[in-house]
Amino acid sequence: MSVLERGSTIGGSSVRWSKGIWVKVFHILVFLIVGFCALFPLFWMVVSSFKAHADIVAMPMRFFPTKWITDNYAKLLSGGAFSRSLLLTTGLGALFVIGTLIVNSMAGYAFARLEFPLKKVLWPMVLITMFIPGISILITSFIVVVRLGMLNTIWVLILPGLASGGHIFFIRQFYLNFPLSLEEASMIDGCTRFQTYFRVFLPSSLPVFVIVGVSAFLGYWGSYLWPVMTISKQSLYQIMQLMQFFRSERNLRDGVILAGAVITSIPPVVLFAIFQRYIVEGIKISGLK
Amino acid sequence: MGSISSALANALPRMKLTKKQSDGLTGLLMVLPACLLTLVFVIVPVVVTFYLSFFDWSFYHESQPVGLENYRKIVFDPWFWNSIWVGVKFTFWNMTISTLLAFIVALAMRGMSGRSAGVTKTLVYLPTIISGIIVSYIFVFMYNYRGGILNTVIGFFGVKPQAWLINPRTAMFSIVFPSIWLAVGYKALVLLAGINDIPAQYYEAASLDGANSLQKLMYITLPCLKNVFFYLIVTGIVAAMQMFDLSRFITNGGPQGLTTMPVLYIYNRFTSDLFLGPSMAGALILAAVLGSFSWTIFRIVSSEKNTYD
Repeated sequence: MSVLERGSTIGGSSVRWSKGIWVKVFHILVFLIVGFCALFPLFWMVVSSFKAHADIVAMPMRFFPTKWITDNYAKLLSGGAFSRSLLLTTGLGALFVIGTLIVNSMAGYAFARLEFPLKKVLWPMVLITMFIPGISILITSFIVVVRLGMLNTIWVLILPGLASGGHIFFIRQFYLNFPLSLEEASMIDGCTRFQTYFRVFLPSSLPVFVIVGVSAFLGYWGSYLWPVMTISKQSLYQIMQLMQFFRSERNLRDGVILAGAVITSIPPVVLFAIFQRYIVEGIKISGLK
Repeated sequence: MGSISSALANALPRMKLTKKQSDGLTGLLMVLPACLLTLVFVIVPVVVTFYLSFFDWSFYHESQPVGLENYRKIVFDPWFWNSIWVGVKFTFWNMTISTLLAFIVALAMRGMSGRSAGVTKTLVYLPTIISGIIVSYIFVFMYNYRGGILNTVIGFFGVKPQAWLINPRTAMFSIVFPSIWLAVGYKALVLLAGINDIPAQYYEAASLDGANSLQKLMYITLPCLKNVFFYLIVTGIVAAMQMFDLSRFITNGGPQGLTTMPVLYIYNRFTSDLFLGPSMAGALILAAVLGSFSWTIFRIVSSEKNTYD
């Protein structure tokens, strides 16, 4: 609360719409309404995950449990399938992010800074993927991975989504704005082009890498359709696939599903909490190009 | 990959390549992984989809060319048009409400600065990061007949509990509502960035001329945000038309297909139909429309800033 008031004072006094106290009150009100709308469903999910089944279906509903219990979590984690899938999805998600950053930033650098043969053919090819809706290749991508013998391997989860026209375009735009002198200086020092990329461009890429990396992880984490089409081995189930499996095949009770929803929301929220400044400020460049 | 290309690049001067040739080789090697993956997992599938849409293709037998039969089938399938119509309705409600709300939030947030602005932005954006399937679960429990918050709230006003998800009159609303919760944050922050880019002098000049707040909104803010709105609406339409999670996990397309979005329709055919030709033809028709949509906006936005080679 003190943070909010201090911040609002600054906001109220420094800006041209300033009308003193009313501006301050208005901003606190905006903050509270927005905060309530954004947080309520999540808060409700967390509280309900500690309810016994009788509390969950009580009518009229009870917002807070009559007794806080952790049975839902115990049930969810028993057997180990959930925690195994959680670890696997986190690990593969991390691998996916690293791969995404390497593949797309190398391409972004080359398209931004180098002249090479076939560039006039390859750039439109990469760019056009931004305009091909996933739905049009859903079935044939499946046929392709079947033919490549990739079903039920980790490769089918990682490789198809790795190269992204949107990410390459975004990173290229970022690199285009790097001063030429920076590159020339490193070339004079005897660096090759690749070393220049590695030593000069990569270390300065954090802002753009955070945005690309987090969006790649969130995409991977939330994916359901692709894993459910390509993975049938239960030991490779991705977390969203497992959640839906628990819900529809095993018929686990609402409380257990809510406990699962809470746990699977933690990684995205933690990631967002760490990088929120970059992401929220990055909206400007990514949104308006 | 990296070490190979740097080793090669290191060896190049000794091989007496010109700088241009060495740049060319490094460049090719650096785009190689991305281009190869794009080729295998995007370009090939698109070409194959197009090709197979003229065959009675299935996983289980030899396929025969059937000409335009698949296109005929899909165009005469009322469920295909139903899914398009559902998609259009969903997109309409999602876009109008979420864009309007986002604009109101952005307007309310302008003038905030320092930490309060940072915290509010973070809160506004938070729903965007929650996975669609998890959002579906949360809202399904909110709509629950017993113990759901919605039925409790309307209970206060003496209305009887509703089965929101299977009632034809409320099913669409039940997937639109969470989609708005998911979509407002990003739109609001993009609009806010747009609003903050408008030069303050415009407003000062207008104030000197005695313009009131509404006039400033109508004659300065809205016109200046024209391109931002355009960008948000076109990208929003393309994304909303392809929404899958909410219609699959909240209503599973029901009741009677009233919430079966196009992607769910294609997915259902994929899992139930032996012959995939018609689904591919349908997917292509949809993709052609959506793809040209986003291509147009890209050309317009980038031609102004000259970002496209």
